[in-house]
Amino acid sequence: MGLLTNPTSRATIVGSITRHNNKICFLCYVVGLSWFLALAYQELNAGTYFSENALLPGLVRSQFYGDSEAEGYYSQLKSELNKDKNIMPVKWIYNQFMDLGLDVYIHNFTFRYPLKIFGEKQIPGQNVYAIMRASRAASTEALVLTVPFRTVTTVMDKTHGGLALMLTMANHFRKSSYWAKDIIFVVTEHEYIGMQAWLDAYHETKSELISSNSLEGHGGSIQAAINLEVPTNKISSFDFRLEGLNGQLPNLDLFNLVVRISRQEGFDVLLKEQHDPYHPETFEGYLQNLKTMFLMMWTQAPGSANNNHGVFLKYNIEALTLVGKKEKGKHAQGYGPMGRTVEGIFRSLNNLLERFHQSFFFYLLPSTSRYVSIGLYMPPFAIMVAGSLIKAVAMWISCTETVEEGVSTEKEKKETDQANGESVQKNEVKDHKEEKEEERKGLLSVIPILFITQLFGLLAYFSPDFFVDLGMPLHLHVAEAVHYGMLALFLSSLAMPRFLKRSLSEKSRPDWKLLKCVSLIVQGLVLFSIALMNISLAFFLAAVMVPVCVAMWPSNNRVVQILHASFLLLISPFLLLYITVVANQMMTEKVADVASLLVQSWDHMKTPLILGMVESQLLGSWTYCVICLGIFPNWLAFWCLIWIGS
Amino acid sequence: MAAPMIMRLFFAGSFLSLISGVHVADVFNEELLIKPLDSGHVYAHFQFTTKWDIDIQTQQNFTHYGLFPKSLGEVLAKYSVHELHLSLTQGLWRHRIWGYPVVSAPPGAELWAWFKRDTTNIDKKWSDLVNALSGLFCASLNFMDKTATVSPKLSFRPLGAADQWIATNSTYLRYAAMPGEMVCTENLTPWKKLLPCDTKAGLSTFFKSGKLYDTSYHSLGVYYKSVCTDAECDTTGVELVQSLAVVYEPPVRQGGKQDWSFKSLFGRFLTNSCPVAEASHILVDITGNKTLAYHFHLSPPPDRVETATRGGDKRKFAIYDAKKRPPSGLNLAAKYNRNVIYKQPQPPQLHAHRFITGFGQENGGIVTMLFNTDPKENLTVIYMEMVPWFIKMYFHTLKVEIDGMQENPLHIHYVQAKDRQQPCLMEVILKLPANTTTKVSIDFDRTFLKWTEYPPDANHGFYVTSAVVSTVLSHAGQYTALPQHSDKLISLLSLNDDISSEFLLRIHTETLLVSLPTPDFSMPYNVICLACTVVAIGFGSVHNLTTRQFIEVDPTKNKGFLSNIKDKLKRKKKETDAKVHKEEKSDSIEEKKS
Repeated sequence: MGLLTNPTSRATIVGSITRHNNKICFLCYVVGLSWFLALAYQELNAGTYFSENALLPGLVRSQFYGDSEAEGYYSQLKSELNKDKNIMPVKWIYNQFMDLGLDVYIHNFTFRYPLKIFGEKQIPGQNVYAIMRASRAASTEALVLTVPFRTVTTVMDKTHGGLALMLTMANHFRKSSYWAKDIIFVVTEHEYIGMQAWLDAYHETKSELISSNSLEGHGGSIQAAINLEVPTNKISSFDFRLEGLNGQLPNLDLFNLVVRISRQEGFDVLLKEQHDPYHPETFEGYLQNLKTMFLMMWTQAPGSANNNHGVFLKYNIEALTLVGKKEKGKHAQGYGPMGRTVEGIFRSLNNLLERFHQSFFFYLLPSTSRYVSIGLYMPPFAIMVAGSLIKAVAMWISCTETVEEGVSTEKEKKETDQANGESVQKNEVKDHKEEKEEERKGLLSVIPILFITQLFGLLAYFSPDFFVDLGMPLHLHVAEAVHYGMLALFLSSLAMPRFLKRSLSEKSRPDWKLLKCVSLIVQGLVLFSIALMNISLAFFLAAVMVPVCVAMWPSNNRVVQILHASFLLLISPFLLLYITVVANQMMTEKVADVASLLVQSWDHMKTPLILGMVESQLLGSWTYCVICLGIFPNWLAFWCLIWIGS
Repeated sequence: MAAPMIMRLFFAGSFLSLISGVHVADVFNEELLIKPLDSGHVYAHFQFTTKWDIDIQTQQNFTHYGLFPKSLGEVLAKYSVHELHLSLTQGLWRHRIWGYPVVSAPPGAELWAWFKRDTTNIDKKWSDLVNALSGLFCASLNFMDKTATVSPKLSFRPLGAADQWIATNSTYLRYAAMPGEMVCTENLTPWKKLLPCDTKAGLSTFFKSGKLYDTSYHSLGVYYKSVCTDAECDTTGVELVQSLAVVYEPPVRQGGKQDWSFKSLFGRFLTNSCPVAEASHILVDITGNKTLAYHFHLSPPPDRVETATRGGDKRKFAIYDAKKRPPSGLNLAAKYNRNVIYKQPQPPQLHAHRFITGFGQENGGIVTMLFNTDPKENLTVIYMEMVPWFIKMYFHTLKVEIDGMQENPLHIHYVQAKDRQQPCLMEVILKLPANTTTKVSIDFDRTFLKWTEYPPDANHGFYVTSAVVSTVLSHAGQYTALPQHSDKLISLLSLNDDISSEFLLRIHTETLLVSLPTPDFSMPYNVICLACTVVAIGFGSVHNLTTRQFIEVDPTKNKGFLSNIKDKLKRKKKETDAKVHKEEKSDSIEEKKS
């Protein structure tokens, strides 16, 4: 109690922070990072379990034996698809559902890409959906099974197998009278844009770029959704996709359920196409778990919708995607086990009395049977970011000391000087001495710089449309226009310190320590806020930004200054994106030549850039906004810092 | 017509008076209507009518019972009920594909009652009534308290004989609905015990829960009203109608065939009729059985086939008289010549679709689409919405759009909800032009309840009962309800003159499930822990700072326990020294004096 009120103990804390802050920061970062990575080790995480008892997974015996029926649908569908290779056979799908006696509807929608990617052209689309009315309830609740329709010519994995399975399941489900929730079967066009249009129409929410007809049939509030992407009629394993828009994840219970049932039916369960290790307690096992967890975080971090399920999460509907995989050397199974898996999942969901509310919504998965909950990953993350806050405190103290020093005796000063063993600190103190006569500058002095950096952020957020207009007469492709526009904006932002130096007089320039203190606090704030929603993004940002930003100071030494600048440039949002693309390129494709890798990545960089903007406007993704208005201004403040003090 | 009626009553009365010694005039009828629907479903509607020639106003009439169920009669008499309509339903009647039922009922429980004139303290009577009925029907009707009860002004009128005073004064009316009520065998058992033959004989032997509840729709009804016993309505009697409606879907289990029989629907043959029943009829609607490509064959052949024209709609019925059947048992069966062909349904003239809009835990909206599919005729409907108080409606957001064009409703009756006291009631009169879709939308806010107000399954969501749409149709396509002045299904046949009459139609829309923001109920523990820590650290230090007095102490004077004692000792020593000194002084003074 007396810790903070007692002047002597307070002095001890203050003293130790001033003296040892560099060591503490370094220690925090290293401990936090290694602890976080160690979470993938079996002993440090927990085994998954069912929190919601109502699910009763796998309790009932499956009754689905419609293999031949599904095969029939599959071959019919194949011949139907080959009639016209580029369109969705809406009529055929509609008729199939109609013949099963379901309420079938066609949902028409049009959408326009932002940034005039296809000019002002309205792209039409059609979803087909059928509602199986539950006999035990009055259409108050519903479950959704979706299949994204892909043509024969698609570059992505096909989904025909899933569509045939869906039709068979619709017929099978109808024969039973135990359903308490309506089951809605949705076949979407244009991937998740179609799904978004359908969900918008279902909830009557307006979207600026997607306009869709209102739905004629509803099935009550949707409790859960399963997206099926099965390429053929034979698969050996299921790969699960969980990561949704803005890094949202479905309830862990849903994932557990799906894993349990798939395993029960004899499928291999994969996460990020990785198998669970056989011996997770060994070092190899740990590395495998770490790889799976890293890949999951890598997918989650951009906050993209990934698959159809990604857009459901925004509407408070738990959803995930089952991707069927046919692995070499593994026993492939037909529609029987596949159908029983889907049946098992839906019968369990049918048992639900309440919405998914138990178990975890925030977690990381090192394997299909282990999880790292928010309670486990937050402490190491907090320790990692704590470094920047400690440094901020140290900066604040040294700021105030500058003033106090004038009052305090010369002797004391010498003592502190000796105590600061590290050269950095010495440098700082020397700087102090030079400035000590100066009046202490208030917090207000930092405001102009922060304001200008924020302005740059806003500019980056709103300028893409302008870049596209600018690129139009030059016959630049939209992606290129945005790419070069962003590069130009980024380069111009680099010149900001020079302008500041010129326009701000020596007196009105803020104390760099104060600026660093405020910027570090803002950084901590932004990172912690992101961590609450999307831990992966926050983790990757913190891992690169914290160590660099903490170590920055304006040096008079030219070499040190350039070193600082180059480090800071490396973690600038623009180059970070480039590095990410390079890393991604290295992970997905084998490129032998370093030069060609770099060139290719430069070319590929347009895609995530434009995708981020498109998703932010079409689906409401926050990532682009967070980077522009949170990370970029903060980085720019540090950029100013290293030039302005000297 | 009056003469044979009196004769019959006389006979029945004299027979019963031998037993009871009192003149009791009551008649019981049992009927079953089977209507195969185009969608492949089969609709079966049982109706049991007990008519009792007593004056409803006289209390002592309700002391001697014949066929009328005593347990119900006593309740109705005690709480001065003039008219009562109770339905317990599982599933939703799908107007768009099934047309209209004989009696419309919302999912869950619905109860509306008119009280007799001069009834004092109606609210108390209502609360006693729902509690009594709750026990009688094993349903949680007792939750129909004042927070769930309204008195609609426009939508409901007495359906039986009533004076002018009652028809225009809704203060005697109470309406409540429980959309979340689960209906099952425990409701069926007390309901069938009200029948004179229980399930021992007659059509009621079909009531085996295993079969009845394995269906797409199931609705129990108890309707009690006062009726005229003569053409001039000089004398009145009371009538109790008990109905049970079931919708089966045979094709899903029979490989696509719509075939049905008593055995397949109810699990047994009909072996007899209820002995106390005046008549026991089975009607099969065979109107749809006309095209050669798609038809069914009834076996055994019906006793007679009759055609009834009603409001321009011609319907054909096959009639079986269970009283005349041999005791070997009747297994009425329909065999189809081909599998059912599913096609886009032909929706009836008026149907509705209601759903929730928006997502999240803050706000949302209710949208009702009203479809008038008639190419020529405009409709005037009364749309009634009753919403619990914890869903805060914004009246100013009420919007009526007809095919996208905003229109003003003809009349609105709106009763604002009061927190924990009364629900929100909205009655809107709308004009639906021919062949249009009208969209009625209103926005609401979701409230955060007190933590004790949440039900055990808080995350399931909260129900909003069906909206009620009432109107008068001018022609009777897909209309099956009984005419207001008749009590038996068989009277549907004698409606050839029913051309100009108006058809009162009431439909119930979907119920809604709204999820309210729900606290994590395991949270209190965490909150207590967290709050204690915060108080201990935050409050403690602040308290310390604000209440402690800071005094500068000379650090050189570091006093311990021992030194304190020393101090005290010193002080004492000083004091004694002082005393000694004083004494010495005084001594010296004395000395001086002396």
